[in-house]
Amino acid sequence: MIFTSFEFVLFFLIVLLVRPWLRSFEKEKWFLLGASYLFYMSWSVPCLGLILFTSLVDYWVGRRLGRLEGEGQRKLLLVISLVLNLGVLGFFKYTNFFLHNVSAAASLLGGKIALPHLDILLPVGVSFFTFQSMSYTIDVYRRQLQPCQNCRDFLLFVAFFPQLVAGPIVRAADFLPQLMRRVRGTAEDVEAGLALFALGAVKKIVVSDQIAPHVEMIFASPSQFDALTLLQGALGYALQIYCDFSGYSDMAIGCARIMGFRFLDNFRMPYGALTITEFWRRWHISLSTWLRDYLYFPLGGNRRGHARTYLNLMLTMLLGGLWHGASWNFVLWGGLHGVALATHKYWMAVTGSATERLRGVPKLGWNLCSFGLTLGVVLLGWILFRARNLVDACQMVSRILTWETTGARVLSPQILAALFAVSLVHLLVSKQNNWSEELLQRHVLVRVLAYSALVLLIVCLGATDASPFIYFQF
Amino acid sequence: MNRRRQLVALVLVPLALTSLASHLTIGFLGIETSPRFREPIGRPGGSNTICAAGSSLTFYGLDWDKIAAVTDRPVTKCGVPAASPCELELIYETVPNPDITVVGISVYDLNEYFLSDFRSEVVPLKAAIRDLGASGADWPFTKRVVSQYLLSWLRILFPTAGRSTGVMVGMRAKARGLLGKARSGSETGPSLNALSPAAARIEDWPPGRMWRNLASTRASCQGRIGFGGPKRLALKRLLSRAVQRGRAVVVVLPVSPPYYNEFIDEDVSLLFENLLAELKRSTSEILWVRLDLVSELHSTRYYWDLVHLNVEGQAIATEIMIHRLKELAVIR
Repeated sequence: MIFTSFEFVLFFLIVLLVRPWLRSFEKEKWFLLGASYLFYMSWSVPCLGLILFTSLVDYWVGRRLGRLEGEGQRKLLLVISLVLNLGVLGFFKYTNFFLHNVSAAASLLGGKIALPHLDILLPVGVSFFTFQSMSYTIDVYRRQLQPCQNCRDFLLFVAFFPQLVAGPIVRAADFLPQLMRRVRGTAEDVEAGLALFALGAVKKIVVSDQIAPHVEMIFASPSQFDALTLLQGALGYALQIYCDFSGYSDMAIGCARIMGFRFLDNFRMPYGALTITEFWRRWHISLSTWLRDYLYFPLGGNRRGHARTYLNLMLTMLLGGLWHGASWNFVLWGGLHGVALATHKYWMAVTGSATERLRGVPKLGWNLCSFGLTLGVVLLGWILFRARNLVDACQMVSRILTWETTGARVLSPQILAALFAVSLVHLLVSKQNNWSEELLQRHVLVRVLAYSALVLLIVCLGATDASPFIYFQF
Repeated sequence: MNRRRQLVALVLVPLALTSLASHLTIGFLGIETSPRFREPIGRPGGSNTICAAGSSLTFYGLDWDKIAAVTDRPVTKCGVPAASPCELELIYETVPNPDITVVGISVYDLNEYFLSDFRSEVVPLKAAIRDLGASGADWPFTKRVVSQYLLSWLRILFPTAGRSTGVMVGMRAKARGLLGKARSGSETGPSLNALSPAAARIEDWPPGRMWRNLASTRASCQGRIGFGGPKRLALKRLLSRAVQRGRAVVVVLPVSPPYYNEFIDEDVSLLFENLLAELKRSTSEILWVRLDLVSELHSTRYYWDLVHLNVEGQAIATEIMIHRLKELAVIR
């Protein structure tokens, strides 16, 4: 049941229509929990047991952590929660990757270990709900959060359907307080939510789904195309994954907002970033802040000297890459971003402020260089991320860098139009503010025109067969 | 105006404006929205008629005017764009007393995952669900088919919904018109209303265009190929009915070599042949014309796009068809 399907629209309408009829907030929360589980069961019925089991264990751990004072016992409980969540994630996501690599390593060393490929079903959204659940127990352990006193509320926090399968990774500190008193979507909430949902749908079915076949074609056989086509493919994938994932996030945030719940932004015009650090402050914000708070900071962050800071950044990004999937492509993608972030940090440490050092260079010129460099790193990352294997990725990169002119030149009108449109939006819309909030302040006529434009784009240019969201596989 | 009323207005006014714009767009771009197609060819008269049922491949692939002239029989062309047996069996029932029924099929339009845009407007939902159930269709495919019905209801308000390809092609054609460039036939896509067969050859296509077309074709069937679903059941019923009404001929139309190379591997080929064998067993009275096995047509010279024959290919295919019909004593 993806957000752009008729079945989801029907499901969501039923949820919206039934809610007001439930007299008490308690009943409403039970209803939302039931609806969330039903939503998840539309993906996989057996995996519901998994989400229920991990949630119940983390709820129990949270309660116990709230009662215990002894550090040893508290640490043990935290370890139980972490082992469980990471164990679930590791087993379902990385078992075959591990087995395959053990076999490969053994054959490299001259040995022969025939390890089987296990037929393990990857539960949809496992990376998201385990991270969400883990953040709760860690926050309670750190005494930054009071343990949740109501099992149903905790289950709803983990399984709330708008964010269940592909985020944003919502923190308990942000969501659980919203379950303390009954929330109702005000007219402003409904308007902003609908606008976000429509914007997300435009990103997904008008941009991402329309360019997907062309991007797929280029990445399927990179040796067949010239450098310009390959560059177009890399740019196309950058747009596809951005519009796909941020579109999903917009729709998730929009759905929650229509019901009166607030989620934090997950994307803020990432391709407008001038540095790689800024990129990560704008891209998948809920994951990057999670990695910062629960991995980078505990590793020591930037408080243990330069070398350790760079190492911490590398480790964080390598694990962040691995979080995306069981493949060396993702690890390399994470490694590349780790190197880029460490290099940027080093540059900033050496120069103090890059702009200060290059005072003579016009600001526009400097910004353009900085933007180009950042985009180059990001594109290189996306090639590693998307390519079928490392050989393809290397081939694609080398053909672009050597500006290979042999091979077919395929200029896709869809990718070019999408590039133009997304670039225009990045140039015209403020990077700092949330546009749906800003739009609410505008004159009603402006809003009518803006919403009409969004709906018109959907009904005229929306792809018929919406493909699943890319991040569902993570 | 209070905030609630303003919200209602902010929802309804954009919907109304968009609906209006969507209707205007359909009219302005001339996008085909009416599904039923029946066109008589040849001398008027009700007796000894030939009914030609198929998708655009059947009408691009064979010169029905010539067949009507050679046989001196009126021909009724029936089909909808991208028609499959699911739609054809229903449209076929509206053709009065055909003496000979010619059904055009191919490895392309019998692919279950390639759905006609007009399926929901021709096939009743109940019949679609019955066939999906009977063929053991999986849930994602069932959802895809049923979604077409919801989409057709949505199209009452927004006729452009789900027709993005038509909108984009139409806009490009209009833009070319405004720039004074000739409208290229292949840009508008195949049409059952095409009266003059297209002369273009895919061998003249630049590689980029070939890749783009292959990508679009792959996307339109979601990269899946299968022959064991509702189309198979409908084809069996259509052929049984055609045999009841007179003589029935199945023409297996060819597709271009690039299409074959990209989509038809040994497994797919075997599946398709198994389907044909099953049809031959179940309706033995059917006469078969295998244009897909004619080696002369296995050349990019004879194709207008990935699956449609051009005028040269049509001439060859028509000659072979007439010859074969004579051989089979279907016509004199």
